[in-house]
Amino acid sequence: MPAVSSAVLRAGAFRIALYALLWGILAGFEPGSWFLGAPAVLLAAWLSLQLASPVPFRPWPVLVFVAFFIGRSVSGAVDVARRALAPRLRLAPALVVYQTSLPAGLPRVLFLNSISLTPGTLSADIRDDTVWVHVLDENGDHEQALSGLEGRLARVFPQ
Amino acid sequence: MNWLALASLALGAFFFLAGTVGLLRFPDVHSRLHALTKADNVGLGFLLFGLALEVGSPLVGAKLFVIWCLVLLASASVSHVIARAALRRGVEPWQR
Repeated sequence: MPAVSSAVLRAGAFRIALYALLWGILAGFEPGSWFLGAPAVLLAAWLSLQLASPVPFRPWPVLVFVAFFIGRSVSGAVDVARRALAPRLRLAPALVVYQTSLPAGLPRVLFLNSISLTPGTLSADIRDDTVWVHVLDENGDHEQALSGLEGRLARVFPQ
Repeated sequence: MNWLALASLALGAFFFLAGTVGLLRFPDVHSRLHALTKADNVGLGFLLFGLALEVGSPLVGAKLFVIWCLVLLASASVSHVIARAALRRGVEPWQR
């Protein structure tokens, strides 16, 4: 039997716990539901380790990021609602180019998706390390907003 | 009906309305994606929060929360894919 690294073991345990929680939420926590649920959870965890290698992350920065993200997405929605409902459209859209240093895979996917949910920015394309960001107002300090977001994600995923 | 739930539902409906107005008024595909992703996601969040309060069952609340997370993931990813397809086909973003 091949040796299993501790990173894989930790990721496996975490995914089993996460999928068990999801199963419980979807199917109910009654003892009978685990008859099907336990094999499904184990199978899904095994399959997910085959498909996606473990990505180590730090739990505390995840919570900090989630709180930051929720606040930013609410202000993004308020900003876009104000622009949509204003009598005169105040838009000055532009494409901004940003160089990211986040590693490929999950950190980058999260970065692109969070860009689209924070005020005034929308991730429009990525090639290698270059991200094209569509902005609603070219006069904002997008470089600073993007590097702030990137820095918070970098703390979640230790290099 | 609980006042907090009612306020949350009304706020959710407001964001959906604003997102739809943005979808209709904004000049091009990229700007419209801004309106849809941001306003609708937060609108759905308030709507589901209000519903969870109204139902008062933690399990149903957790289900609604999972739905919200999946919709966030789907709409952010889909908006990126639409924006990228438009750019790569040579759709120039509208400029003032």
